[in-house]
Amino acid sequence: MQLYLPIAEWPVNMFMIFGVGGAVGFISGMFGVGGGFLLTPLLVFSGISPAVAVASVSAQVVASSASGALSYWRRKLIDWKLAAYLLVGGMLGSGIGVEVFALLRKVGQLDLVIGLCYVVFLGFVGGFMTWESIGTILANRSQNVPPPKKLRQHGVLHGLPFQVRFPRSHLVISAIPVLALGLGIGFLGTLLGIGGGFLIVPAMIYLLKVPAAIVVGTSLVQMVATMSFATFLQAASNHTVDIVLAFLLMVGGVIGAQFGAQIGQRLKGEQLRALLGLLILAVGIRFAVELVVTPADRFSLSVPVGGGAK
Amino acid sequence: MRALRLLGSLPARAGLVLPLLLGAGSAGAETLVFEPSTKRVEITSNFSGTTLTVYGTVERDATTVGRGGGYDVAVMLVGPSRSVVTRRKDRLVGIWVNRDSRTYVAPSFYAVATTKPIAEMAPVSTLKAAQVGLDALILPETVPGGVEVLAGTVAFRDAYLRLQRRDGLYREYPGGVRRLGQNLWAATLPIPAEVPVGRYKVRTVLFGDGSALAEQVSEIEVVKTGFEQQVADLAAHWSATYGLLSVFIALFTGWLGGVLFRRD
Repeated sequence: MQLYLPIAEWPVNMFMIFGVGGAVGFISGMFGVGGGFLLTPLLVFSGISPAVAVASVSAQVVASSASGALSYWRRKLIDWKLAAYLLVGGMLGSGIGVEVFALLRKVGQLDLVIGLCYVVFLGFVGGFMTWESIGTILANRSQNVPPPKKLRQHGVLHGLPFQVRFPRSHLVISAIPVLALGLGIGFLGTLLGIGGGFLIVPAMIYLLKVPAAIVVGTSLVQMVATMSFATFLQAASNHTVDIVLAFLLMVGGVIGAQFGAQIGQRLKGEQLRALLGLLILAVGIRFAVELVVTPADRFSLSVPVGGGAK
Repeated sequence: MRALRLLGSLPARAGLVLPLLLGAGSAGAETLVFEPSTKRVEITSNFSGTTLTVYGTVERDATTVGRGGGYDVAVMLVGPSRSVVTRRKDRLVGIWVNRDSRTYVAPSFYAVATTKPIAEMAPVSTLKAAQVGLDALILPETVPGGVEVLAGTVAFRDAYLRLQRRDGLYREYPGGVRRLGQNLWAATLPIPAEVPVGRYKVRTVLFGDGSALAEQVSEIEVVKTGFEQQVADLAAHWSATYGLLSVFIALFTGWLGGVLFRRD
């Protein structure tokens, strides 16, 4: 069934968008990530302008993260204080992101920057996660459990000033890396139309040493807030949020996420990380191929102002 | 049929004037009279494209000279102008990057139906002067840095036209004008679902013996209606409210989903 999107000014197949939202929601529920890094490229591929896709996906990320956060809230697996610190950085990053987004769109390099960022971040994070988790799986299988790393490893990050206590995470850490992480995620999230779950989850586990059980719920809360802010900014300054598109994605995504979460709970942590790592790596490689392979058409059209098609 | 509006309505187009054989209103000239099937194309939520039909006649009087070759008619639907950047990717340290670009201020939509293939109706110079057909379309071009040139770069112009054709926004329909009688004709112009909104010109040009004999222009509008219009208005004029509303809808949907599908 054809549906005309009022802001994208583009007709889409309603069930196709709904299905895409559902499939990505399934993945996001399973891994506790927003799924924006899959959704935005899929929408662009179906003819929606990158500007509208990025902005509308941020609204969708709000919905899917809110739904996920709620279930972690019930199980009390959220560090609210840590989320608040991440959020302060996130707001600032989001504000910078919207400005940079508009600037890149104007000079015609938005696609390139998005592509490069995807390759770099997805490739790096995906590669690292896959390598780390497969190592863990192999070690467990051979019963050769490596000696547990000393908890409270005090690396460089932990020697910084402004130490703050996060009781829920049993963590005492400087506020600087927490704020910086929030800022980086807020910036990239707004620029790339992703919640940044796939970046913040590993960063919290490996850099901040937040207990794994707390990480997903806390990052979801941070995502809800940062992406709400991003959605508002995109709507207010770039006029690119298509609420009809976002709503279809949300409904599909929220439903899909419920089923994904059920599957996710049956898998072990390292299995989940290996699967997510491979998925992220695959998307990253796809973007790398696109940058390197001679394009079928070297020319492209874009309408400089407004949220119109192309 | 609407009253005749004779020949004076050609819009100023880069200083071009349609070469008419005879002055407006003079005896002996053919005139075109036409009426589009609708004055208003409404885009609703399930809009999947439509068709514009234009009926018209060629009017002559007793003093009109006979045309051995008969008449040909071109009917154009021309969308509001907008600026479009055409970019070309070039390889830069191994990756493909948008480098050179040209900006065209051109119709956002251009469909032309004709009685026979455009090239067979009149010489290129006549087609150019009458602005009939995609090859004849004048595309003033702006190079990066803001310099406007009238004679554009062929590679970019070709790419622009090709991409607009691919997207269904620029189309030629040879044979799209049917003759219903000696002087009566009907044109069918498909309007795709991707059609941009705005005020459109319906231009008709009459050809005979390889010359442009007469031209008429009318207008139709393509508008979003109902819900689509309200959403677009809200987003454009009340963007902060729209933004807050979007966030609220997202939060509510997420919350509702979490409650409805609660399994723990």
